[in-house]
Amino acid sequence: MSVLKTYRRPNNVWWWRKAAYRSFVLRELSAFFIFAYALVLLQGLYYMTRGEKDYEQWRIALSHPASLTFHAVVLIFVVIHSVTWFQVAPKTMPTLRWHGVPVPQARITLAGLTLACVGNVAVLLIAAFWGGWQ
Amino acid sequence: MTQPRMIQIECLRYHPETDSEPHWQTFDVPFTDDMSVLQGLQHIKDTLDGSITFRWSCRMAICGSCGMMINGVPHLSCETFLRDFYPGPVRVEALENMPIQRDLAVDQSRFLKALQSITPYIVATQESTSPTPAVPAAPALATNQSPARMAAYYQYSQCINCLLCYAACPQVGLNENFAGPAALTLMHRYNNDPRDAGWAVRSELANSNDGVWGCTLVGYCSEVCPKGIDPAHAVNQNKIHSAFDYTGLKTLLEKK
Repeated sequence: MSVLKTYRRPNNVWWWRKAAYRSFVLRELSAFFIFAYALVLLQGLYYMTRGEKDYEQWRIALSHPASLTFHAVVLIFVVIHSVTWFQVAPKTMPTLRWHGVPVPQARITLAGLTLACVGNVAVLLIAAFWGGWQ
Repeated sequence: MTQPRMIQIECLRYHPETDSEPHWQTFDVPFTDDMSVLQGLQHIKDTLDGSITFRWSCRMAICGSCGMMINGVPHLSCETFLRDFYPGPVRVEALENMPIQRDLAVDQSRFLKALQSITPYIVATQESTSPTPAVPAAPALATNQSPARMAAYYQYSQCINCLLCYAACPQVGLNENFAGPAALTLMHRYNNDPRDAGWAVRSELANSNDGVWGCTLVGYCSEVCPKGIDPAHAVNQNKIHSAFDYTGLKTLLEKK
């Protein structure tokens, strides 16, 4: 049997060529920003264990313009991660059925995003009313 | 009757005996509103250049032969209409992530090999009594299917092997050993069938990096499927099976 001569096209910058690929890359990339923010929170916990003075200094450092810029960038990536994560979440779970009919995936995504928004607003309100947020 | 309009079809051409790499060729094609891209290509073959090569058969999105990239998106050319691209041009090329055999025809051998490797048939729940080991015996007792049991796998059995999902999946392009969305979707079809007991023969591939774990959940395969199947969901359901298999939970939870 003769060997088939074929042509393989180059696959350069595949990750940015289509909207679906960009969404995937942003979802994975944004996880690093969330990891970085987790480190900032851990740092806060560490300073808290060292006493009130150190903790206050850490809080003052958070209001530095560089820190505020970092937090703004992280916030953008957290929103990107949340949206893209909830978009694929229905594909990772068994089919949900309501009275025997599969629940549309878009509805699961919307429900997840709504819960995430409500949860975040609730935490902010609790912090505001209980005085932890000054 | 509507007067024909003209549209340019740009086609990626490759002749394995004369070309070192593909090149674009442009054709001016008259079309009416009811003409598909496939019919545009047939017009080229019949009247402009008889050497242009493409696969087709049923012309009604059933056979899965005429998949190609149309303006960069994997489509069945028989159900994609030229009127939607007017004033054009329309760029057609062979499905991405697969080697070009000639013009718009790709080498499908990779998919056919993957299809064989997932044991694409019901493996009987009883001990095989078939004289030929490679051919499993039918179940000794017929297993009735309720609508609910059938619903668990029906959509995954609708694959027409058009390979649009292979063109959509970046992992297919990056890892040439990856079994790919369609083959893994069919694997899920059989794993999800209550008459089947074939996980043991499919688990080695499923659990490997070239099986379900080769998928990074881009999800574009589900967007382009012309039959409304959700390959990304099928593959990721088998990640659950595979994780249960790894931890031993699958054996504990198995009711069959």
